[in-house]
Amino acid sequence: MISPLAHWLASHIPLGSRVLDLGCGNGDLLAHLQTHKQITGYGIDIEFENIKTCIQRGLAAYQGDIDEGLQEFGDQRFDYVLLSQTLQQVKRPTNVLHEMLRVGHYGMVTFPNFGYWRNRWQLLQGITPVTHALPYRWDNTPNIRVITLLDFQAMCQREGFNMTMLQPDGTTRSMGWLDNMRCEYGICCLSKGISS
Amino acid sequence: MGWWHFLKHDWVSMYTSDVWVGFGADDPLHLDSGGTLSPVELAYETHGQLSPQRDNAILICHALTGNAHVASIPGQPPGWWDGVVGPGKAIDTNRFFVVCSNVIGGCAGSTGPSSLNPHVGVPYGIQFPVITIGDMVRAQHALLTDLGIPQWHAVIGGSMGGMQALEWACMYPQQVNAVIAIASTAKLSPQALAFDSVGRHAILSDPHWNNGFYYGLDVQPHDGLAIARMIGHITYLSDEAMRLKFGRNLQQRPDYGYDFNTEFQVESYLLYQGDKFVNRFDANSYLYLTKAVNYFDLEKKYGSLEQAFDTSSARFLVVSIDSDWLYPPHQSKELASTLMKLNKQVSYANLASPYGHDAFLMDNPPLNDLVAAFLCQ
Repeated sequence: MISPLAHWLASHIPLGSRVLDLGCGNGDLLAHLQTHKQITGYGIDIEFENIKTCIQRGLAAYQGDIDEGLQEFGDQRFDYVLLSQTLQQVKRPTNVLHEMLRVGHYGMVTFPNFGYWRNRWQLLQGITPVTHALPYRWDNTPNIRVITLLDFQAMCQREGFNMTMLQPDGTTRSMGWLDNMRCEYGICCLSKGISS
Repeated sequence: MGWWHFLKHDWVSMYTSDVWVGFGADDPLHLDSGGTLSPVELAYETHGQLSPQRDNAILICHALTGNAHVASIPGQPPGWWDGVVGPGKAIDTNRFFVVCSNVIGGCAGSTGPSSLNPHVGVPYGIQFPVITIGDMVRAQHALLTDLGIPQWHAVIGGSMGGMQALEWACMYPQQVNAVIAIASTAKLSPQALAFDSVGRHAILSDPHWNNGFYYGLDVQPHDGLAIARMIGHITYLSDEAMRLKFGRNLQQRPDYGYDFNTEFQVESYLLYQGDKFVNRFDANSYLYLTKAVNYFDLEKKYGSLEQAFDTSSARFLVVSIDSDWLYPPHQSKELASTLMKLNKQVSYANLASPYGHDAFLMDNPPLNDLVAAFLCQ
């Protein structure tokens, strides 16, 4: 079983793609992609236990810190580089995103959207939001930053990334004016160059 | 009592290995140095059964001072990797046919400097040719062929054993399906070269070394060899391991004796290791094997790491130990990175352990799990 979010991402990845999954965790998404999309590729994770689980599942995984860059990989080595639910935990997010688009054609990024209305509502009540997407209390969260979709969009413009929103049915669209309020997650595809 | 912890991995040479003999006078082993060696004996052990398809054979390569006795059966002295190799263990001998041979240049049954030089009827001594990791692998390959095994399901080793496993994938790319290299490297750091050099100097400067011809004499270069071993043991442990195991504790006395006797537990440990070592290891073998490890450099041999592994069809598991400063994690990372660049099926893990380089030989459940998981694929 993979999470709905992983399913969502997977629907956008064509058969036989070359995929790099950053912060691959226990390899759920990679295993799903290997079975259903016959992808090749690697997972990177910082935790030994996760690497072990990936190996048990027959996945190739590398124990490393994505904040240190992706020097292991040459330019445009992958079709898709995934960063799912990890952006809010990296120290130098723009560096990581640039590295993703150096080693891959497309970067797929998901993150909890802090601009989601439930988060705003809890903030209005004077408390740090705890939701399905942000399940931690302020004192035990591994997240070191909060990101809203609007922030993310502005960053993409600054850094020269094309950004589209990934739809659950496998299509893409541009970000709409209500998205920052109604989306619990940012689920985006980044690319460099003229078209996305 | 802490330091006794380190002793449980030692063995007594009371097992018997099979001996393979090959590379006769008309077909000598051609060495990287340009020389030849003939005949060549390899002491080896096997565990488990070779499948009818001959596809379940695993070669385990031992480290610097190891031997063919990788695992034991009841009644035998313990094997050096008993925690990992055996029925139902990480390298499951119910499933795999495990082969382990003593390296050439060694002194545990295979041809080395203490073997009789058939041309002159006395031990080789330093007339023995300098050998490389590649030469060790070439000799093992002849054994593979003779055992009728078309290819290894996996070649596995730690430290110098890892070097052999890597060299196997480079030299015989189509005959190795999987490689596990633990606490190993594609080439030693200058710091590691330096420690080995001091170890060799300790032996070479022992007057009883006698230019390598001490076999059969009353006195042996035990002092030099023991010092070399003590230096080795310092490099096998981490700062933290020494702090945890010995601290600044005194071995027997309640307080300082203000003399030059052995006082600190760490001193006592090293002396013990040195003393024990000279009874089971040959000083010349130590010279030859450290030299082989020092010469090992896949980049130099093949032009680049990429070229070294380019044609290999193996999948790889590269494991480092986070406190290992002799074979530091960055070397394993570089190796794994190169293999990823080449699109190989490779995984890399950095094991957390305070025990330094030695950790790969210790009882280490996470490492066992990792090896088992990789072999199950």
